[in-house]
Amino acid sequence: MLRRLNWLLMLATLAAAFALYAVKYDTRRLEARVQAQERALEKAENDVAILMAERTHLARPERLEPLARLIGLAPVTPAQYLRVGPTADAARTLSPPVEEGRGGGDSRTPDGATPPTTGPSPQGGEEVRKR
Amino acid sequence: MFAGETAVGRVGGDGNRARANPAMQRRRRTLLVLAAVLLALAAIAGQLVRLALKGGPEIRLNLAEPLARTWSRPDIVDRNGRLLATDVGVHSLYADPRLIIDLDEVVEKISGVLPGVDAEELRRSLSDRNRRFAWISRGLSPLQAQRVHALGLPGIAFRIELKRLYPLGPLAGHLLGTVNTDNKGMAGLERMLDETGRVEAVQGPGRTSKPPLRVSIDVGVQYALAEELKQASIRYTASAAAGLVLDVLSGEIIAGVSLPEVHPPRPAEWLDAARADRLMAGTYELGSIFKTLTVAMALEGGTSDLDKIYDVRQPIVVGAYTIKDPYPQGRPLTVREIFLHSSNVGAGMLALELGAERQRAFLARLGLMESMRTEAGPVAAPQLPARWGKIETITVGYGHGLAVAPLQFAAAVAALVNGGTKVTPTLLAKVEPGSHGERLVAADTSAKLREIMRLNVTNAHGTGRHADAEGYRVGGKTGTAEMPGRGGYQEKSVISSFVGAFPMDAPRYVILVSLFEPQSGEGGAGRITAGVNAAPATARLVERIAPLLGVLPRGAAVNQP
Repeated sequence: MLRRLNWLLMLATLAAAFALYAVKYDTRRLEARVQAQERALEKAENDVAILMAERTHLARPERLEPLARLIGLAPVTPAQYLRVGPTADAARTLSPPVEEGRGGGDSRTPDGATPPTTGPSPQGGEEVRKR
Repeated sequence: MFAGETAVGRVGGDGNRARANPAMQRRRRTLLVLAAVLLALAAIAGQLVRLALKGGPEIRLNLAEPLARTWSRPDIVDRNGRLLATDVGVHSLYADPRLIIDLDEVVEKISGVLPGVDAEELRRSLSDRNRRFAWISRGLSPLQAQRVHALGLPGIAFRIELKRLYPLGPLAGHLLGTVNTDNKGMAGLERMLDETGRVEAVQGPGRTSKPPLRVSIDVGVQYALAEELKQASIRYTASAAAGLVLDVLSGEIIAGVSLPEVHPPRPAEWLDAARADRLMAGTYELGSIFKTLTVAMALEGGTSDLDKIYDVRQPIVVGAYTIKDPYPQGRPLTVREIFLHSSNVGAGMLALELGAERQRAFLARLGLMESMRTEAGPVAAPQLPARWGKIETITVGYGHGLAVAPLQFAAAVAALVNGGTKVTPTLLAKVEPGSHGERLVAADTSAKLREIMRLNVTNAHGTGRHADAEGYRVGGKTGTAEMPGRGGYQEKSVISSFVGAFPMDAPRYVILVSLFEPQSGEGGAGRITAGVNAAPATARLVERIAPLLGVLPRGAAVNQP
């Protein structure tokens, strides 16, 4: 009885030792993988940082301004703003709300398909930027 | 084995009592051994369980660690999220002198590949064989790193370190500040990051997970301001310039420029006195733009009103000093006209009427008597007259005898035009829109001041008439201050300034433009005053930045689409 138990225990010891080594090697392999991935992540993060910095550097105003001026762009001048006249202002106050279901067909909107809320009329009286 | 012996013992024990004792002893011994074996097995099992649950302790050893520590910093972005400063990993070259085989070869080859490395210094630092670590060069470019790698020298190796990058070059350099080779903040907002514990000590290139610092600067406006100041410096041959755009309610510094600029990563430029920050680190007698405060003081003190008339025909004589106007009008002037014609005599009379005590109290209320600080560090403390007598009261009234940092002055003007409430300049973007602070002057005083500031630009005789930017309702005051030099004030070297706000009907931004030692003005001829250089420079600036800031022009165009 005891002899069998002893054999069993010995086998168990061996098995445990083997399992322990297996686990240990597994752990090391996983650790190496984690480290490799951490390094890859660090590198990727650094690459992203470098690319962001590069993009910002390329899009710096000092570089963009001459390029923009080359193709005829310039700061907006007051003459480029458009004040929508009193007719449009009146249209805003007079046009019925959209809930009435007439928005799309309202003859006072400049575009028949556009409901008054998205047309230029609600901004009547305000300056509207024009291209 | 012992199990067998036990069995024998048991058999023997049955037959003979005399042998029972040794048999018992054997049995006890056997049990003892068994217990020991079980204990050992239990220990192994326990260890297995512990390992399964916890894993082994991590032991890492790196000799270079204490030397190679750097600081990981959060990014700095502008109010719209555009990058101003960031950390990137770069290769840094170091050596382990004990592992170097041929010192001459290493020194020769390295200094050949890296021109920035001094051969003599390198030889000295590598010849000490007791050292295990010595930096050779930090922050190499990828190409340089590749070249060094290709040399294949033993005893030298790379570490990846963090390096601070400023992708926009010198833009907002004075405000951003700088870092040292260990990536530790040394000045400006970079230093603030260290002082508020937002940096992390790291051993490698690990970037911080801390959120970026969002500052109040708008890159577009900052660039426009820098560019307009540069052009004005060239056009009017100025030696230096400073400019500021300040939100009148929140106190956010939308743009702040001091020319000549500094590149944050160049230490030599930070030590150059000519490149010092004129906005915050220097104090100046700003001249006639100070009359804005004098008039506000007179209105607030109740001793005067915009229509009150003062006889400014005669110069004021106090002891050995005579205060006179550069352009005498030859007739009595109202307060409105004193402001418009920038009369020194008039400003002196307004100041005298109130007296030194109330003048000091008013300036103290506006925060001009004590030092101020922003997130980028302390602002240079105001330089006050040693004794504040009659003559000092007069000179301070027109902006001499009291030197103050332009930023601090602009904050006082912002409080005067925003309806009369305190403005604290800040370099950090505010999440919530600005609201009125503590009341400093009456709303009525502020309204009157806005009226005459605007009038100074619209009126054909106003000194600021060249500052009018079409549609944007600029208002403000010019000032041409002679700079103190050897033997008194220098007539030829002046600071031309314009302080103003726009749109004047409901001011949103205060602007300050200062040109140092300009040699010419608009139109070429005549006396060089702020009205012909700082004022037109302001007009150009406002025309450019107003669309960026979302300020709409009024009454400008009623064009057909």
